[in-house]
Amino acid sequence: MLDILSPLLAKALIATIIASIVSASISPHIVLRGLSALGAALAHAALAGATLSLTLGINPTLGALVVSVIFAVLSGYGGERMGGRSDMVIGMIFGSSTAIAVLAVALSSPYISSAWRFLVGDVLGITDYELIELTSLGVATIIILIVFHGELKYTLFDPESAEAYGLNVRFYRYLVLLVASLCTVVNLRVVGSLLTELLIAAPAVIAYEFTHSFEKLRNQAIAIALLSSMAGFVVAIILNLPISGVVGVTMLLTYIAASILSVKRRRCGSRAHIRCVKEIFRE
Amino acid sequence: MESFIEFIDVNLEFNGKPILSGISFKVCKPELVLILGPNGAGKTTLLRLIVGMLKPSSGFVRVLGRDPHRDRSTRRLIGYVPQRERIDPSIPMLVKDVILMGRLLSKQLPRIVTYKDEEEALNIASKLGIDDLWYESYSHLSGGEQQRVLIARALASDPRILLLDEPFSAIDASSMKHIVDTVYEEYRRGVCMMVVLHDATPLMEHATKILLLNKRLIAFGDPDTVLREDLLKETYMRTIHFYVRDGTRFMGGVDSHA
Ligand SMILES: Nc1ncnc2c1ncn2[C@@H]1O[C@H](COP(=O)(O)OP(=O)(O)OP(=O)(O)O)[C@@H](O)[C@H]1O
Ligand SMILES: [Mg+2]
Repeated sequence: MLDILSPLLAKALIATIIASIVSASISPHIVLRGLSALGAALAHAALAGATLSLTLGINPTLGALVVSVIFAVLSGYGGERMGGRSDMVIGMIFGSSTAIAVLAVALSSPYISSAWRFLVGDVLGITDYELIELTSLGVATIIILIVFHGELKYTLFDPESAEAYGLNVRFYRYLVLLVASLCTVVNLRVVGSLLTELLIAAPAVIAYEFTHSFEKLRNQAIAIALLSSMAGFVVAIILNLPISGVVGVTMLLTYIAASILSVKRRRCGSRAHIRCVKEIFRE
Repeated sequence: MESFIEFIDVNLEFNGKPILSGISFKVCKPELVLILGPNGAGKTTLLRLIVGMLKPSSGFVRVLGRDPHRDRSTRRLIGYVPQRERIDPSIPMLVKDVILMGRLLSKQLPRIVTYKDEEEALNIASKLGIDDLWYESYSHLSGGEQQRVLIARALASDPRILLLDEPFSAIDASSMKHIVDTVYEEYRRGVCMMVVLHDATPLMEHATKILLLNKRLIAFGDPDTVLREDLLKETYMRTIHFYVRDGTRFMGGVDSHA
């Protein structure tokens, strides 16, 4: 069994914490804007970028970043052209990214194990340099989300009025796409492209069951993501299982528990509840 | 003197289809203008032109002496209350967040809420009788309460011009009274009000100008000169009864909002 204080574990732990915080911070923006499917597609774009870079012998993080940002912008543009519907564009991103990744891996058989790391994550194998990359990207994401928090929230809630106040609603839509692609790159090393989507979507979906305030939703999403990924991490280490897989399963179990305990489903908030009762009596 | 709102021969088309044609009018001082017209008349479009969210295909829009489309800073002087149905209630927002949105977005970057912002926003909320809903979820409110929150948000940015789009659609009597009182009070304070209505009755006694719209401007002027059955018929394309009882004007025959 691994030593709790080993540098290997410490690095893995830091990377997992950063990935959880970053994913949960963007989670409300992705889920409430209906971009969950896009998150998954961007994770595949990042995978394509990373594997292609390995074949070409360049920095995989950079490659992942470039490809996922390009696909994010394309999806934004495509969605606009299709009158707000982006499902077809997302399908295209999925398909083409997977194709690129398959080809890249086939062309570079010596790197096949590295490619596998990006697919399912390999947080224990993270290098110092990768940890620095991941931390910088994570910090950039968090700063953007903090600085533009109000603007992102208001353009989502009521785009028409936000525009009436002079905000560029389109700019903020693209900003969310950009941050989403940064986030998928952060997750690539930690949980891999297959599980990124779960880490990005689950926290807000779980927290949504419990709160009516946007800030509380975000904070609870972060808390939920940290708790379940830590729990998953510890269990994985003890049972000697792949960390990404256990973290994913923990997240799923948290979601099931949350649905059962949901405050919103049992009573729709005290005031609304009183109103329901009043309306019943009026009839 | 600089006028509040001026339209000079404004035309607007969407994909070659004319939506508004040859609109000219001028609001020189703070007035309480009612904009009346049937569904699809272009009332919302007219408000969006004033805010500067749309650019006329030809002609000019001047707001406080500026072009609101090119000069985005004009928008901070305008409060805009969109049709309530356009807002997505699934986004978790507290009443407080919605009202503060008005104060925050009228500031420059970085936009930070101060104690004073909260205090002023709360004052406005109490004027509209919604201060006790401060920590409630916006989506749990009744239609009338939501409408009051949206008006409070627009007032929170302390606008010189306030645009309201159908503020009375599907709301209760108490909300209606709060809104009518607030609209009149703001007008008395010197805010220029433009209110889009389907049925003008609730604000008829306070209106200082009426604008009849149906893709083109049918009439613009004092209520006494504009509220004639022939002009109303031209606007709504069917007979609208208009009568005065105890000195109060009423409109009949305008269907409830479709
Ligand atoms: N973005 C747009 N693209 C194309 N057509 C539009 C657009 N916005 C509005 N229209 C059209 O312009 C016309 C006027 O619309 P507008 O919303 O201004 O009417 P309205 O008077 O506010 O109607 P209502 O009483 O239903 O709110 C309608 O025929 C509508 O279909
Ligand atoms: Mg309208």
